[in-house]
Amino acid sequence: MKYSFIPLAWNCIGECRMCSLESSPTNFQATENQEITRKADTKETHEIHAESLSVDLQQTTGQKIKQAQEGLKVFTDMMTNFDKRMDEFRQKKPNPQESQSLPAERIDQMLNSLPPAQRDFMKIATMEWPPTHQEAFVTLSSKLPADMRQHLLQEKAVLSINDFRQIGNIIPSLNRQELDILMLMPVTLHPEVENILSGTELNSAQEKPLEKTQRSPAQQSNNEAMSSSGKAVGITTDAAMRILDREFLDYGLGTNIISKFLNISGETTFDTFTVFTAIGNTLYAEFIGADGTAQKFAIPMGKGEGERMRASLKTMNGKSQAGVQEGFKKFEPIATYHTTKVETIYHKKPVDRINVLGIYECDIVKTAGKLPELYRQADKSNILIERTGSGMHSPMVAKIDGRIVAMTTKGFEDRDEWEKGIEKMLEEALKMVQEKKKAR
Amino acid sequence: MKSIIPLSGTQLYDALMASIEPELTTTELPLLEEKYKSETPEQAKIRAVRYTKAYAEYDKAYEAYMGDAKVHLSLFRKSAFQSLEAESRTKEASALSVLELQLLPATTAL
Repeated sequence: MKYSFIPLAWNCIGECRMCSLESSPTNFQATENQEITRKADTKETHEIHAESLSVDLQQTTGQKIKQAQEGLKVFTDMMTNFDKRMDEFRQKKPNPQESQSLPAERIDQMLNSLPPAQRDFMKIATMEWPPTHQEAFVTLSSKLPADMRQHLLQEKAVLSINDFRQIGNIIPSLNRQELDILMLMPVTLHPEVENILSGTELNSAQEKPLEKTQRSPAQQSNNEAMSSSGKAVGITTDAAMRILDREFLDYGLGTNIISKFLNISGETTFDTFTVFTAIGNTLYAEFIGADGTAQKFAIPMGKGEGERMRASLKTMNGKSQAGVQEGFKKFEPIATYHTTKVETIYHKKPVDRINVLGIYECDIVKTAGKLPELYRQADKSNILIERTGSGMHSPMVAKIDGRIVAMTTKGFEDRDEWEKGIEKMLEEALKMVQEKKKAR
Repeated sequence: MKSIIPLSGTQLYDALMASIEPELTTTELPLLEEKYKSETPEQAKIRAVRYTKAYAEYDKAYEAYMGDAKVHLSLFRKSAFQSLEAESRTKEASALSVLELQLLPATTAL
């Protein structure tokens, strides 16, 4: 039975909200955590008896209305949250933590403690910084070892491999503003470091094109298992996450931005499946088109978009930097091959499959290890995976024939632990399937 | 436009039930007692069976509604993402053009 008002109604919602999207900024997809849960689709038998007809009708109708109310609430809550998020993006509400600024005296005090040449440079530089960056300058300085601080602040300081190692150690503890400042330090790279960053050493090892047969089964299954909807779903390793973060690329839009610097054959659309992995400072991006054509690129980060942005900042500050032209270089693929069509995977319950991972059409997934393969096996074994509530912290359950057979205990606070919990749950469920098969 | 969307459980219930068994809509329910006051026990039994079937049919219709709504919501979200992506591309292209203009003199000097 069809009810024509339904599509019309949702189109109306869509139209109303799409109007408001016209002026919305971009990064709303990454943490869109709402899901639709069919709370009220439990089937109950409502038998009406002739002898208590009136009472039965009242009770049953009341129950049905309550059920409908709950069902609608899931949708309205979700749309309310959606609107709220859109409003937040439109208004660009500043993060309260980021808007805190240091008193000017403290910054002056910090600057005055520097040698005159460094002080002058930093004073000029900090004049154009927002308060958050002025604070970051102080906090970054406090995180650097004393000798490193002095060294970094020297005009044209040459950074050695050892310096890089030291910086590498503190990078994970830096926030975005501190990273901005670090990147603005007036330094020159030691030739050895430049070689590494420009990918010279890595490129020589990657000259041989990577054929399909050279891809590991695990990698292949990763691609297949996670590409549930054929949309821009990808895998990003921890290392790649850090590189993207360091290069100021939004995870969700990393594909879009990076693709500008790649000589990708054919049209890259939002339907492209992307895999980011990282080795050292090189970001490997695999773009897999809807037809299964895949291209792999090695992008030495620090010479791409991030470098370009930093260079522009320096240029605006009256400084120029060697290697700016690298930002204009288009990267060539190191391998072109053909892989499985991405749309054909996980045709069963694609929406649920997406929600399982807490991701949506244009989000990316950080995952590795055996989880993708477990998902694939679970799918083949008709194990249904569901979240018990609408929040990201709600436990996950694995169901066989409608019965819950395993459950996670870890929340989403720690993604690694959360994924391990899902792995464990799926292993238990798959074990039960095996035992059932044996019993037959 | 939003008024077309069922705003309450009652509205949704009535919308679905109206095409299954109009007598079970919330507006008709209070009138049934009067309407069937001279009904025999046998007739009441037949009616009770009819209503039981109607509720079962309603359950199916409700499930279909929720399923459809879920699909439409998913499509809406997808189109919203696509809209944002298109907007993002336009903005980025524009920002990059500005950057290129700013950077080109610096690069040629290097």
